Amino acid sequence: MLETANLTKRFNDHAAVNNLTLKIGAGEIFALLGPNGAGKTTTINLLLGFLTPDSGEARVDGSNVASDPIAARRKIAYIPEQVMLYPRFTGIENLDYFSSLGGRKRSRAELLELLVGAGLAEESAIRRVSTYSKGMRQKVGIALALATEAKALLLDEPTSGLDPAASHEFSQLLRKLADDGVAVLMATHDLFRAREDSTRIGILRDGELAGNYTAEELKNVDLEQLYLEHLAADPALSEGKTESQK
Amino acid sequence: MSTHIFLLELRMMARERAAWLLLALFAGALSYGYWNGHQLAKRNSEAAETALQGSEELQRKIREHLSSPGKAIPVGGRGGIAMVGFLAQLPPAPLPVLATGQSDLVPASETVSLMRLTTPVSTRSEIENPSHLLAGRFDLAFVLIWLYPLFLLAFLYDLMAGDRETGTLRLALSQGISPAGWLCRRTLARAFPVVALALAATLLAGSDGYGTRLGAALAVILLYGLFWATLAVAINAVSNSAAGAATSLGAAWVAIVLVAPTLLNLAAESLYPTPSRPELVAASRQASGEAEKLGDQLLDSFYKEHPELAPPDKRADYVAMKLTEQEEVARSVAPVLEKFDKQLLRQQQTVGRWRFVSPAIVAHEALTDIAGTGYWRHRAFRGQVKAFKHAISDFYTPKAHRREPLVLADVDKMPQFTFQEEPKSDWLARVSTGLGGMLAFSAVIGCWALLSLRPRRLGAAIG
Amino acid sequence: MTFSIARKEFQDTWRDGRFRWAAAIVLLLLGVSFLLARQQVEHQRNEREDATKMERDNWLNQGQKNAHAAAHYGVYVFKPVAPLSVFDRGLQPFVGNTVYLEAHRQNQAAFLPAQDATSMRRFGDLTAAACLQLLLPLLIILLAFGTLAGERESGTLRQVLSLGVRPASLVFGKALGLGGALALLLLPAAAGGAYALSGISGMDAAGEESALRLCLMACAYLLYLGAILVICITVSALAPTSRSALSILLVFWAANAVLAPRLASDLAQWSHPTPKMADLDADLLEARKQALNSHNPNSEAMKEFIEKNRDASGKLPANFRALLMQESERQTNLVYEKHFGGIWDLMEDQDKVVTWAGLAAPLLGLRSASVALAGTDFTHHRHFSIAAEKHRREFIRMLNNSHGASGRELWEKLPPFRYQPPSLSQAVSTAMPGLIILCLWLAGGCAALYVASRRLKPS
Repeated sequence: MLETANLTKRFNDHAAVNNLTLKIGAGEIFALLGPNGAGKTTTINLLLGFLTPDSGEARVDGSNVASDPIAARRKIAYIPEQVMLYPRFTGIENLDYFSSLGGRKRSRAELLELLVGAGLAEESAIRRVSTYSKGMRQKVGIALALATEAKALLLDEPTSGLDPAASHEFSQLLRKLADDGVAVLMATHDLFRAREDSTRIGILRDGELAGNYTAEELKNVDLEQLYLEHLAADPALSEGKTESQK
Repeated sequence: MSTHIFLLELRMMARERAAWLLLALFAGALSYGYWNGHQLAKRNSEAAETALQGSEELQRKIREHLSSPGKAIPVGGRGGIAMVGFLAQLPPAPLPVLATGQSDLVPASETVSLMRLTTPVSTRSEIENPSHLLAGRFDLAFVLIWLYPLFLLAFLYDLMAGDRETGTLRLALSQGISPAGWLCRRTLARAFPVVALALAATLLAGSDGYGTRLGAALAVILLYGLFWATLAVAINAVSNSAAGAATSLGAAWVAIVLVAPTLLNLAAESLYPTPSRPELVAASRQASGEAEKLGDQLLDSFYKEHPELAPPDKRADYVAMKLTEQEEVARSVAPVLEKFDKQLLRQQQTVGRWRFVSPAIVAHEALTDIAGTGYWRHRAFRGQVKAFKHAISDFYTPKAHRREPLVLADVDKMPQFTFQEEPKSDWLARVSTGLGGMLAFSAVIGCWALLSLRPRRLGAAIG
Repeated sequence: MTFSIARKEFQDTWRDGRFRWAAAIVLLLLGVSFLLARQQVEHQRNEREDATKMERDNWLNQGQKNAHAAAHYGVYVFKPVAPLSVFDRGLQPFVGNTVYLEAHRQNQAAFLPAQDATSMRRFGDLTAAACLQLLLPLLIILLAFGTLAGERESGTLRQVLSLGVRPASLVFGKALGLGGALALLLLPAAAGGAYALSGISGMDAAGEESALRLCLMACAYLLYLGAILVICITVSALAPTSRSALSILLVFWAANAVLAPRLASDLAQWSHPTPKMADLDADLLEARKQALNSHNPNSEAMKEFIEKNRDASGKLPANFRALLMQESERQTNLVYEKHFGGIWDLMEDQDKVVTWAGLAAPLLGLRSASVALAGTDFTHHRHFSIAAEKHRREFIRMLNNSHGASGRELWEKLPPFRYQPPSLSQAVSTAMPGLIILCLWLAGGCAALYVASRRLKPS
């Protein structure tokens, strides 16, 4: 569903993403961990077609992103870290506007259903977005993702700034989407959520995939320790084996 | 779908109080400009009406006098036709409310009398405070050429930069719409109310008929608006902030509306310096003085060349003398006058050739041409007045020389001034060429905008 | 502290690429306008001198004719070009430059240069005055709109205020620094102006005065630009964001530079409407008919005059014709004085309305002062028209008292027309209301800036 093959992107002399190969199938939740500047957002931008790779390719449901980014975006749902909306529009109006841009017109009742489905209270949905909290805006973002009915979902730091309850709500929605067959790529710092929600975890360091583990493999592993070890740039760890597995 | 997005964009705009205030201000400016233009048009029309009434009264008196048996009017002498002034009146412009143009500056009438065909006096026009002429008129053309772009830019300066700053751009474009497509829909929605008001005002100003002129005026407003909208799109595509876009667009307005026309005028005046009226006056006077000195000699040689015009008693007559002198002056001053006129024409042709550097100049020239208050209609009037002077001279001079008075049978043959409007094809060609140029300019900017909005170029800014 | 802030602001401004570009463009336009204006003024002066010489020759060589015929032949006089029109052409394109002086009739100055110009005339002139009045304020807005609002947004304002800097020192320091940067920019402008003026030959008695007038004009422009600067900084201090500061200032600029001149003219026309030409012509014709006219022997006025001059025996005096000419001229002159004087008074009243409208838009005050000091305003034009009329009356009086003489000897008795423009003190008195308005704007702006400094919020 979401694939990259030897994807590389340079900015001047620096490789922000270097030879990245990923494959995320339907129903998978892939958490991409990495420090600031590791290349997580660049990877997302490449998958969205906002950037053109220097080499390799990114594919969404079989379509090459670089050759037709518009078509690729229509197959993806994207929730940015900060879901910024138009403050003078209500939640419903924002959802209507953005989903119309994607060529999907829905009735008011459908839009309201989507918002409520994403966890937003009905009375909030008809209020202007200038009164919304971060969590509420994110719910509109989720509703938008649901509205696209896309088979792939890209998330950029989705739980950053959310309180535990909102974070938990978000997880439940995520799992529901995966159960419906959506392939999810989640770029995040949140190790706890990554372990709780994802089916696979990748660790990105200097644009390269330093580690790629299934949830099964990480069952009894101290994820934080593993993460820090990968970031320490030890060549022995570059094949993605844990200390206990050596 | 596009209509739905268009309506949503309009709704977004309608939620801003500033938008309503701006639209109200623009509507107010248009109304005031329309009213001012209407007042001036009324004044000019009343002046023309009064002048024509006077002329008709004169004709009626002449006819009445000559209708009595045995009555005749001498050409020379006391009460002669030689000192009577015949009116050459430029009829009111077709669409005067649309643009004042030159109608408050250049006289719309001239009184032609046989004895003063070459006297270098300027013709009369309405009393205008020169300070007001300097400040310019608050007419519809002023609102449409100067203020219309400002109001459009007030709505369009932040098409994208603000969204880029806040992050809504990323979310919008991730829905699978091309940046150019998204921007065009937004531009269309935001420009719509301003353009609609401008078109409505133009329609009102052109409501006196003249279908082609009205259609042309609407095309000017539409294409002028298109130019500014395209420029706003292009600037937004490359600006990093709303303030940056506003500054660039403001600078563009200053360059296109304020500076370019003055530079073009300066260039035209430098390439073809305006000839000196004082020198023309002095040259006319010199020619007149020399002709006066030749006196009888001139008259004698004139009668030698035109024996058919010699009076029965061959005596010198004051009027005949003066007419002969006048002809001599006209002959010697003709090259100076021609040079004068040619230089002025070259200046205006330079403006016409280079008007494409600024859509404001194109729009101004087009609107004044369409309204009938522009340079070319007044130039046509001056040319026809010159022909009228020849007609007056051709009709009355032989009578003056032969001392034949005017009789009733002559009344219907007396030269009358009737202004011939320029053929539609002439002014339409000028306007169409201007509009074509403006469209081409917009297309170039549009291409630049499209290139700037390519995913490869835009992506780095969004990412 | 204020001076340290001023120095930092000055350096910052000079390092700003936008300032350097915009300043270069403004200087280029100023330079072009000076060069071309100087050429034009020199050219126009030569033209007028040539025309004046030609016309004097015409007058002297008109041959033998009686004095009355010569009075009808008349004389043309041409308005000299004011040297300071290199800076500000003012009304020159819109007033006549040629007056025909003839018997029995006072003519207005004819041949407006604007009537012989292209259609671009209505967009205005690229003069030094236009650059300084319209473009330089835009440059000031560009520099100053973000000076406080931008610092607030970036967080540096909070940092500066947290160091214990007094807000008033901060804002006035910024005003000084920006003002210093702009003043430096104006130095080449002033040098260009002095060069342009120096090139114009024939400065004669007005030469020294021209230098003084130029200094006063410079003061007026400094007052104006200073007022604009303090207003911009005030708005930057009070506006919530730099974007809103920019919007407010651009609206102010448009209202001041684009709308105010035209609206003020309309207001003046509404408060002091000019009569229709047809009505004025009719009134003038009627008044002339009533007045004594040597060409109309059947008028009531003529009959009265004849009766008045008969002696006891009913005879008319030997010099009756001369007396008739003199009285006829006197009465006609009164008619014209009343009519034209009335129109001129009306126009000056209209101009006063426009000047005092400068209380709402500083550009109007500046324009009034600038044209008055440059010698290109209506008051100067009226002064010339009156001088021309005085010359006409002298010329008619000379011819009426010629006692039958004719020929070159008589024609030479008429001195050539030598026009002395109004003195500096007269020009200053006309410019005074405009100067006062500018002082009020600057003082008001400084007061507003002080109030804004008291209300300055770090975020």
